[in-house]
Amino acid sequence: MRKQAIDKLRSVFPPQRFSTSPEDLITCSYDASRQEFRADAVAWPQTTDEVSEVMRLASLEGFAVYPRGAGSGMSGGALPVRGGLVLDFCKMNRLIESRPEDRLAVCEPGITLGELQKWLKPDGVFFPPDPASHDFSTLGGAVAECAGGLRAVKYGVTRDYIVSIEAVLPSGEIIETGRTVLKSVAGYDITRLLVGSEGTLAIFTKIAVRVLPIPEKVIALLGYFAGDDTAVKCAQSILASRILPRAMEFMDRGSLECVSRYRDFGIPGEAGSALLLEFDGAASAVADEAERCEDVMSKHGASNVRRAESDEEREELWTLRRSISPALFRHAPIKLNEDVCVPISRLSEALAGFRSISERLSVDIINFGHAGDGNIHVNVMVDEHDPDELRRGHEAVRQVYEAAVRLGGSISGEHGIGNVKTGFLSLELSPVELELMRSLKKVFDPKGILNPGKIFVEEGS
Amino acid sequence: MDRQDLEAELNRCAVCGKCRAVCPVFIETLDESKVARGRIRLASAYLRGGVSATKKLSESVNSCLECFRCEANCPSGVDYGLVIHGIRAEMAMRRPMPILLRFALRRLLFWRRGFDVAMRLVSLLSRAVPRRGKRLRYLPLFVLGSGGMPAIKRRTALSRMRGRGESSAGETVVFFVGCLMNYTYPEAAEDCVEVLEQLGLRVVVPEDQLCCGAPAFSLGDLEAVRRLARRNQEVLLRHNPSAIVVGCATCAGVLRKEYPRLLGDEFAGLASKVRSFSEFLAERGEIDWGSERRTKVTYHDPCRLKWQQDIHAEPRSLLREAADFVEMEDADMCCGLGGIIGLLHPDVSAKLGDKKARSVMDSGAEAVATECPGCMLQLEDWLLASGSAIEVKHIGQVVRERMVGGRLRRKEKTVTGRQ
Repeated sequence: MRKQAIDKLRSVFPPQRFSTSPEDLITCSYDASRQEFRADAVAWPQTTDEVSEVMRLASLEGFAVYPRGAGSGMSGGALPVRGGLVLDFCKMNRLIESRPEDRLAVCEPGITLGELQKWLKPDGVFFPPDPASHDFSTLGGAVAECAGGLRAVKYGVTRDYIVSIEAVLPSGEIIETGRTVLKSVAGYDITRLLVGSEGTLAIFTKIAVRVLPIPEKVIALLGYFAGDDTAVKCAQSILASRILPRAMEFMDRGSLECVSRYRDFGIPGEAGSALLLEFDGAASAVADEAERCEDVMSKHGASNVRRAESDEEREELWTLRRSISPALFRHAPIKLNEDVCVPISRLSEALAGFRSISERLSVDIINFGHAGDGNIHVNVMVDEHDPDELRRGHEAVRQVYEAAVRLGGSISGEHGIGNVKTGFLSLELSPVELELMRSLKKVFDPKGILNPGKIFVEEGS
Repeated sequence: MDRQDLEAELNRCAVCGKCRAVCPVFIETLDESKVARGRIRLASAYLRGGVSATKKLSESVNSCLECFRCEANCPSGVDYGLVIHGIRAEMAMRRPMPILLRFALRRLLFWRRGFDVAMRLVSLLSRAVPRRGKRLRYLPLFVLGSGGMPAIKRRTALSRMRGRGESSAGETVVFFVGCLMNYTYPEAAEDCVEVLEQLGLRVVVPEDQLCCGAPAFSLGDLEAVRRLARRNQEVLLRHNPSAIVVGCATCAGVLRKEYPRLLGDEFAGLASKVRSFSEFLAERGEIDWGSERRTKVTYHDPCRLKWQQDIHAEPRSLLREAADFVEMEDADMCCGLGGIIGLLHPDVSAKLGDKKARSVMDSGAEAVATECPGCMLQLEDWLLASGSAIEVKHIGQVVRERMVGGRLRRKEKTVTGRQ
């Protein structure tokens, strides 16, 4: 960035909300994808006008701008890969209004999903998307990446809950997409286009979300199965039995073995896989659903089925699921964590496919994740100090993507493309579709100054 | 611990950001350089030479409360104690420590009489400045530019309990007093010891025990800590006790967790004997309670006790018997006095202290109990500032008030699993 641009930026922000110090540039240089890129400056905006002024300057001076939330993304979406200015939204985090009677809430993008829930709770409503990072990731980040989560089986993903967005275009102009009502079909659905756009089209400054009443009762069920197939078949039967769990998590033998080594959860030695389910709704309905589900599970040979009703008991069951990540971390120094999504009906084929990739390339692959929506977390376990294993690991990842696409699925269910999967996008999208997307990007951002280097492979490279 | 251990631990961080959800300092400041992930990345850059020891870097490292909430909640199992003390030691190595501080850490802490005299001097000086309320005397800490200092009592806990238990017989435990209880809350230390004695124990309080080393850890002087640890090991194990009971959450955390992991296995034996006061009572005590009215008491979790030692159920079950226990909102949120933040970032400390005082007042309790003299100090300070008359007590004092007798449960063979 040119000195002139930095001087102009300094006049937009008070001194404590703009910095070029190496310490501040380091602390906005990374995210959960474990890459690092250094920006030239960082600012902490608090108003739409500040963001608009920044983009006006950026168009004029030609520097790149990268919106950032909590830096919890898995695909590098917020990283300043080309240098320029990072806009860190963690201090633009006000809750503007809760309108439970309209089933809506309006807030600034920097609020964490955890804070949002805490704030909505007294009104008896909640915001359904719940990515694993929900207690620290920001709403802006969740919208930019279209975050999913455990409850997607029943409630869907972030895109299903965004009603309207106030956003700043790369030119500095301010737009408001949609209306803050639950139904509106006036013109193209720009809101849906912005959700999941990974900060490449416009910068969000205000977001109106749809909220739902907090369910009266929640019940969790955990059961073990002989192998991958039996658990997946059971999951499919549950969904076919007119039962709708809000969460349905799958864990394979590898995950269970790792977790058992990590801590004693009383997992039966012969267990080859597990399903963890959760139901919510009116107390009587939930009890009935859980009971019917227990029947289906026992028909599929589930053993050691546990039912948890109180918060503490449920927490105990979820600790098992949450321990997988730290347990895997001890298993191998690095894991390549992929989040492919396949149609639920083809889960068995997908898992069998991943197993054969693992055998063919002799790398450990451990699978767990959201059986209820086909979004499986495929963890390729490698030792970064072993270059050959690392190479085989990356090859395994490519083959996992190809397998998912072949089965009619997607290379990313909820983490986004960011800068880490740009090379694989063409596995899923046709040249025509890719070109249409590139054209859209040019309409919004003709100068290519907003979050460059994301989603698409650079032209000419 | 050497530099390789530190680098390996820094690499263990998965950069997920979970610590942002739990760090009290981050929640107040929203500043990534003041949360474990940011400090870890800055420390990595510092070790690689990517950033120098600037004021900003010191601020980042010194703003840590050492509450260990991040460590207890870290999905990757980063040993944050090793990280924060390791960074401080690395930074301290590359920059000379002020002579007075060096004298205090390397000499004064080892010289009990001299330390006593120094504290007396501070105590006398503090009398010359205006008092604030009954308990606290304020002396502007001109050296560090901060708020105040606690009142120093005329007689220390160690001198009050000189020679105690040395002539009696029976199962022996050693009581570790810690500096803050020794100089500021000697009566709480005495109450803890009396409770243990009423169980039929022989309680020895060696007068030559030294500071656990927590301040030296915070300032990065690992050599001073090592020397303190060796002397403490010798003194505390001299009477071959079945346990070393500690009334201060910080001292207990340092003795049982930080000695072995930062200084090495030679301290594993000492560490395995350490028990926090309420943990020891839960394990071994059978207490008979008197019939007088039970006061309404709430409990504040000292960070070091809950997050570093996983002790939170024990004090509560004790208080349920000893008093009319009520839980307060956010009982496990830091009071704001951890580490050296009270001195270096009084604004953050004040925000946390004020919130804590409000939680205590909203609970409707007549008294708040805790198991750390540092927390007691901060609670007294902020309750006073809020105009509240709620008493602050060490949990040992609450037990002592209603206990009429008791006996010892047989020692169980199983290890508690907290080491």
